[in-house]
Order: sequence, then structure tokens, then C-alpha cells
Amino acid sequence: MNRAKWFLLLAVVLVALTAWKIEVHTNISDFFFPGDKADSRFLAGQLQSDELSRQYLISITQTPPESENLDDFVQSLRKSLQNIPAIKHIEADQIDAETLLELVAFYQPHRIHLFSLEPEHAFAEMFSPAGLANQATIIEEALLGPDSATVKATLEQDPMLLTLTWLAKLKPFSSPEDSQQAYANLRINTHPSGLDAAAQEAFQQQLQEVFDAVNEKYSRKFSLQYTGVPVFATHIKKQITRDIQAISTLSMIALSVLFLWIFRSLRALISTSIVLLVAISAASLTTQLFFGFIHGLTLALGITLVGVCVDYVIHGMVHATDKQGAERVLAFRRIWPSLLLGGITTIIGYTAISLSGFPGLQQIALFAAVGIATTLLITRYILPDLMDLFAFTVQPRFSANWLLNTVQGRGPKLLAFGVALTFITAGIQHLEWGSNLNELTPELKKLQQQDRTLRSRVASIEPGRFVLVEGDNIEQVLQSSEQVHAALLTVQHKGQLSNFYSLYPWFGSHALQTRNTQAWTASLTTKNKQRWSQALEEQGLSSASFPPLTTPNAAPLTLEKLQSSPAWPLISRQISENPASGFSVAIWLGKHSPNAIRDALNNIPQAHYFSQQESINSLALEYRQKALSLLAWGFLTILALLSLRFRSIIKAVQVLLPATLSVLIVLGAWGISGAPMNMLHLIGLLLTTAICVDYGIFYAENRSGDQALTFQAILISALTSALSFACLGIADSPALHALAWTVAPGVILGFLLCPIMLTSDAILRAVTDADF
Amino acid sequence: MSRRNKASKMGGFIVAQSLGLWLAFLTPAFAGEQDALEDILKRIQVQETLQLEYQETRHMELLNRPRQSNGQMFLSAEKMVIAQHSPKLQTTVISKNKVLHIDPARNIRRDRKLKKPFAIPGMGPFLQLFYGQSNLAELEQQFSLKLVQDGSLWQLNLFPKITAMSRIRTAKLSGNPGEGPNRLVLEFADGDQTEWRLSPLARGPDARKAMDKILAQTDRQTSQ
Repeated sequence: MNRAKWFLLLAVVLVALTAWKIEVHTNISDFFFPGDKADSRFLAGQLQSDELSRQYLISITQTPPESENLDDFVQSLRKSLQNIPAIKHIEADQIDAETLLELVAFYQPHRIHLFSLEPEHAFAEMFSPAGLANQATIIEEALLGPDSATVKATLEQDPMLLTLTWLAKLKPFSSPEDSQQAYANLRINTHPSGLDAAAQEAFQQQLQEVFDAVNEKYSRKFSLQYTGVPVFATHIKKQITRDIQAISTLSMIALSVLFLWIFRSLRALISTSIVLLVAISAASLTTQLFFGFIHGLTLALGITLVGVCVDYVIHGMVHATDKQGAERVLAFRRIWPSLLLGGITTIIGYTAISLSGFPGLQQIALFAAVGIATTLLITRYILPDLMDLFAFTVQPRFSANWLLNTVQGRGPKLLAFGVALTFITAGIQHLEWGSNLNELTPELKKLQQQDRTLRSRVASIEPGRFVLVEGDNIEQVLQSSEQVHAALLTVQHKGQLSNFYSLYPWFGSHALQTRNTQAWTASLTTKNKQRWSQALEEQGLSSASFPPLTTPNAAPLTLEKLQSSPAWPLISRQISENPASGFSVAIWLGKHSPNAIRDALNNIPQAHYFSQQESINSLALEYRQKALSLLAWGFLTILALLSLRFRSIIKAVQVLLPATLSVLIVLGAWGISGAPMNMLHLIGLLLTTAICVDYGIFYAENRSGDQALTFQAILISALTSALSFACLGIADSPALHALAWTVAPGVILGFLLCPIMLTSDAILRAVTDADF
Repeated sequence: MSRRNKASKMGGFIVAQSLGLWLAFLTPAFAGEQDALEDILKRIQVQETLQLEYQETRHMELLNRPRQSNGQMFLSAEKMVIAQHSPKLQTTVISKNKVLHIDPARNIRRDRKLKKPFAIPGMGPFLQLFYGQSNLAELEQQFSLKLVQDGSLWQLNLFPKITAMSRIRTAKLSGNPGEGPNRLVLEFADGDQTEWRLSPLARGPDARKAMDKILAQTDRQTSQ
């Protein structure tokens, strides 16, 4: 069996292995957020936690508003939702009476531990005559209020009703104006992970069906809206799946049609497809082995690789088409140095983008490097045998001689320089850099708007902006949080913060709990006890009927105990534990002045202000700056490589000229268009450079000695590359649009500029076959 | 047949006849009591909006003297409004699934959802009568009922059977013949007691108008 047959066997095994092994992820945060920052870690931790990623916020609106019916409807809906097995639990956004009683029962033994952040001062104040009178008033009012039975029961264990004082410190999330609301909110946690898009999609369908069924009984007076991580996850998965399917189908059809039209050989198409399939399979498997998964966007961008890799195959086939056996092998060997150099420059381009810090691009770089290397090796060592096995020749339908003859000479060269200069001069002033990474996902804007609307109904907090406190252990992070709480109180007193929600009074550091107990015990003097009895009597309360004041026996509240308490579902979103980096605590903020918050946190190094939007924007800026410098470094690396190859920097610059002018014209065109550019445009420019440099090398080296044939091969390569990148233009994702409309025109320009800017003989003289 | 036997038979007939007569007398009385109870339950249940003046008196072990408060109470088909005037202005609105407490002086507006309809601790039995059970059989599953009537007064005593209400020893409602209740008394297991005295002010649309006015006033006070 010859090499080609072994290769075909290997191809079947490799493709089967790839289909079996690869695991495609669609979690967009994997693609965008690096793991080296605290904010990202917190967000990633939250996304992976049970509580946030599995949670839906559901809002039910009634038209016209009649609150009584709404309550009935919500109760019926909750009852019906219990039948959905995917639901872990449902809770109302407001604390219901039952949970409130559970909270009172749970916190009653810890009322002293969590009494105050400044216990010495607070207990001294409470045991002052005015403080005791105030406490007696609170007791009387509570006794005569609507919860008299609960108050009486609490007083048996807690004679000063400090549990109620603790309870009063809990800030309601609901806005006061919401009390007349025409909507009700529920939080639903699901058993399946929020990022399990298939399960979440099925759940969302069930949810809608159950809602519709209940709504039918109420004459369809209600409407349903929901948001949450699973909603975004399913939407993104749908978008990426749609993009992958559409791009791969279109590019496959388009490239096949182009290929068949140019070469009129089905066998050539089949051979090329097999080579590319093996290259993509090898790239996918390597990425899977290295990262443990392959991202959907990597696949989508990876498909563009077909357009790059096909260049090497076409270049080889065109040069070896009229040869057989050893001659064919020789033809491949002759062009091999050009192919290898072209491949290396392209890999440099892809590798450079992996250094931008974009986690998803690291996958793409590996994917591309393996794909290109595999294609090169197959082209060099297998393709000649494969051409023999399938017994085909490729005779391009058209010749590019006329073009070659037309564009050569001094005139077109000057014209090319003039056009490039005009474009870059006119465009550079209008170049606009978009700093908002969200612009890359405008499809999500509607969902984001709905998310903001629904979240504003349940909480008077500003979504996406909070204070993040970090520490190696829970005690450290709680102590820092308590410092932040005190600092935020000062900001609030100045009117620069409407409200904030820290972990206190739900939880406190062990140090704080101990201080509270000590301060309370120290306050229980005989004199204070007498003053307390007197205060009760003066308030019209029977002091003899009240239990004596003592120190409770309960141990301080621990995280483990809190996690199994009725309070945990209400606060768990604020705590994130990461085995590697310790604990993070988020403090939610109401309306605030960011600068005032930042100033207040200056002296607390473990805490910092986090704004999701600002963070994403600064991430975008950081990526853009990196991409800009990488564009320069990538360019310089390719220049260095070419200088080494041609032993002349001037010749290397010459080979780079088509790519350089092409990039300048595309850049200028973007500027003139006024459309904002982002980091993906820069990546596109880097890819354009890498691909066009290949053409420069192929054209300049002209290893077959037949300039027309080489130019014809480059023309076909450019058409296939441009077509495969242009196919990205049908994607929903604007990130892929940016690549499509940067690389496709860039590649065509690069090809056209080769005969204009390069004279092959001058360069070829500097190169010998022995170089490689 | 001997004389003795004859006399014995006659005696048996008389006993049977007396028993029959007694039963015949008792049955309508029992049926009458049942009717009266159902009639009272029907009268207690809210049919149209009522505006009442109330005076509440609370006796508690923890208080060294009874506390009195007064104001107006509104009972409408969908909600109960307690607008306290003295000792301070406070409004409590109880609907099927929610209780809203408003204290304008302290700018407090706190609403709470109820797990079960009208499950307000301490007022549950009365609210169930006002809004819930008109069906005697259902009511008897939760309470032992005792109706006492004399010429000038009716009194319905409810003794909770279920543990959730074990804090309450007795709930008593009383009123004039042919009228709804004018006195409600709750006696707690720990000896505490709450009493409401009610006197009607208006009913129907007038009462509704007065209730809406009170609610609008309260809204204005808390939104300022």
C-alpha cells in the first residue's frame, strides 16, 4: 500500500476520532475573560456557582393592574411550576412571612454576635437612659403590632428584643415605589447548570408552556419575561451554532463551486477536501487535547483556515499538474521552500494574535498552527501520491496572463503607491476605535435591556457595579468587608450613595462577633439591669414578667452554619470561593458616585470598585493596544524572517510591500467609511499581512520558473481565501463581520499588488534551493 | 292478659310516646340551632363594604396596664382596612395574600406576602369567618363551635382544634339579635386577651367611598 492509501485510512480514523472526542463549548465568558484578574475570577466563580448561573429572574406583568388577581395568578403559577422536574427551587423576590420567621428563629441566638459593627459604642448607647427608653418603646410597639404572637415568643429568649433590632438592619431590596407594582417577581433555580444550553432551552420551553396554561385560566391577562445567565447562555449557543452551520455550509458550497468552476475536476475537489478535512481534524483534536474543550468561536474562525490552507494545496497542484511520478514529486520539492516560508509567516501571524490576551484566540492560534503545519506536510509528502492515486490533473479554466501583463510596469506601481497614500491619508484622520466590547454582541443588546429592566424591578441596586473584597480566607475577607461597610456609610451620609448591601448584618467576622459578645457582657452590670427594669416600667411594661438579661450560650456564627441556614439563598450570590485564590465578597451598590466610592476605598487594599462596563471597556482597550503592538511585532518578525531568508532587508521589504500596501488601503478604507474599528479588525489586518506575505513569497521566488503559472496559482488561492473569509460576513456575530470585511478585500488587494510591486528575478537571485 | 301485664304495656307505650314527643320537640330545636348558626355565619361574612368604628383593648402579661386604641375598620369583599386614629395614626390593609402596614409618622410602608390566605397571627379566626368559611362543615374541621343565644344577645365561641392555632384558647364573637358582631374577643393560651368593640357607621357605596378616601390619604402621607 502506498503513502496515499495509508493516508486515506488515517484520514478516516482521524475524522472518526475527532467526531467522537471533541467537546464544543459555547460559554462566551471563556472566550472573552482572562483568568488573571480578580474581577474576572469573581465573575467566573459566580458563573460557575450553583446559585447565580442556575438562576432565572422571572417577572409577571398584569394588564391592567389589579394586584389581587396578580397574587392569585402567581400562587397558581408557582403550584404548577412545581411539576417541572428541572426546577430546584422557587422563591419570591420579597421575603415572605414564613422565611421571615425562620430568619428570626435562626438569628435569635446570634443577635448579640451581630448587633453592631461598633459594639462598644452601640451597647454603651443602648444602655444609656435614652437608649433603654427607646428599646422599651420598640418592645411595646412590637407587642401591640400585627406580629404580637411572634414578638411574645421571641421575648422569652431575647428580653431586649435585639433580634428585632437586627431585623431592622436588613435593607429591603425592593424600591419603595414598587409597593403599588403591577408585576410580581420570582427567582427560579434549576437543577441543570446554567451553561448547559440544551437543558436550559428545554426548561425555558416548559416554563413558557406552564405559564401559558395557567394564563389561559386567567383570560391571558398576564405576560412573562425572564432573564438570567441561562437566558444569555442559550442565546449565545444558538447564535454560535447558527453561525457555525451557516458559515460552514456556505463556505463549503461556495468553495466547492469555485473550485469546480476553476479546475473542472471532481477528483481534485475530493482530494483537496480530504487534505483539508484531515488538517481541520488534526487541529481540532490537538486543541481538544491541549485545552480540554474547543470553543464554538474557535471552530467558526477555524473554518476560515480552510481558505488559508487551501492555498498550499492549490499552489502545489497547479505546479505539478502536467507531471507524473518522480517529476511530480520534484515539482513539489521545488516549491516546498516557498510553501514552508509562507506557512511559517502565516503561523507567526496566528501565534501573534494568541498573545493578545484574548483567551479564545489562544485556542485559535493553536488550531491554526496545527492546521497549517498539517496541510503543509500533507502537501509536501502525500499530495503527489494522492494525485497519482486519483489520477487527475488540474487545468485552470482561465489564465491570468492578461492581468499580469496589464499591471506590470512603472505606471501601475506609482498608481498603487498613490492609492495607498491617498487612502491612508484620508482615512487615518477618521479612524475611530470602538472601546465598547459589547458592540461585538449587539444581538444581546435586547436581552441586556430586558435584564436591566427586570433587575431594576427587584432591587434598588445598580447592576454590574459593586465593591469587590478579596482575601485568602473568610475571616480576612469579612474583616475587610466590615471596613468597607464603615467607609460606605460615610459616603452614604454625604449623599453620594443611596444605599448599599454588604454581608453585614447577615454575617460578621469572628473578631466582630467576639467583640460584640464582650461588649454586651461588659454592659450587664447591676446598675444597667436596674435601669432596664425602670425603663420597662416607665414604658408601661411589666418588668417582672420579662426574663433577666444574660449572655447567650450560642457559639459565633460560622460560614458552614450560614450555608445551611434560611439566610443563605438570600446572600449566597455575594460570596464566591475559589480554592486557588481564596474568597471574594461583593457589596452591591445603589445609585452612587463612582469617584466617591473609589476614594472611600483608597485605604482598604483588599477592596476595589468594580464596574462591569468600565472593566469590559478597559479590557477592550487593553486588547486593542496589545493587538496594535502585536501587529507591529508580527510584522517585524515576518520581516526578520524574510531578511534572513533573502539575506537582504531591502528584498524582504520588497516581498512585504504588497501585504503592507494592502493593509494600509484597507485601514484607510475603514477610516473613510467612518465605521468604528475594534481589536478584531486589527487581528484581521494581521491575518491579511500573514496571507499576503505568502503571495509575495510565492510570486517573488517563482520556484517553478513559470511566472504566469505562479501568478495563476496565487490568483486561485486569493479567490478561495477571500471567498472563505467573505463567508464570515453572513454570521450574526459582528466579530466575524470585522474579520470578513478586513481579510477578504485585503487578500484580493495583496494578490493584485504582487505583480505591481515585485520583480521576481531580482529576489530569486538571492535565494538558492539549499537554503531550506 | 293479666292486669299487671296490661299496666306494663301501657307504661311502655307512655314511655315510648313521651320519648317520641321529646324527640319531636327536640329535633326542631336542634334544627333551629343549626339554622341560627348558619344564619349568624352568613351575617358575619362580608357581603358588602362595611365601615365600623372600633375600640381595641389589650390585656397582656407583659404590660402593666391594658392598652386601648381606636379608629375605623373597613370590611370590603377583597380587603380589610384598620385605620387607627389613637394613640397614633396607623393603617393596616389586609388582603387575601398580603398585609400592608403603614405608619406615616415614621414613614414606614411595609408589605408582606402571606403564605396562606388571611393567615394573620391573632386575627386568623375572625378573618376566616369574615372572608373564608361560610360552610359550617368546613369550619367545624378547624374549630369547635358553640353558639349561645338569649333574648338580647348572640355569642359564637370558637375553640381551635388545630395546633397552629394553639396559642389561641378561644375566639368569641357576639352581637345583637339579627345583626352582625359588635364585639370580638380573643383569649390566648398564656392568659392575654384582645377585645374589639365595633359600632357600624356606614355600609355599601358610602362605606366604600370612605375606605377609598382613607387609603388615598395614607398613600399621600407615605409618598411625601
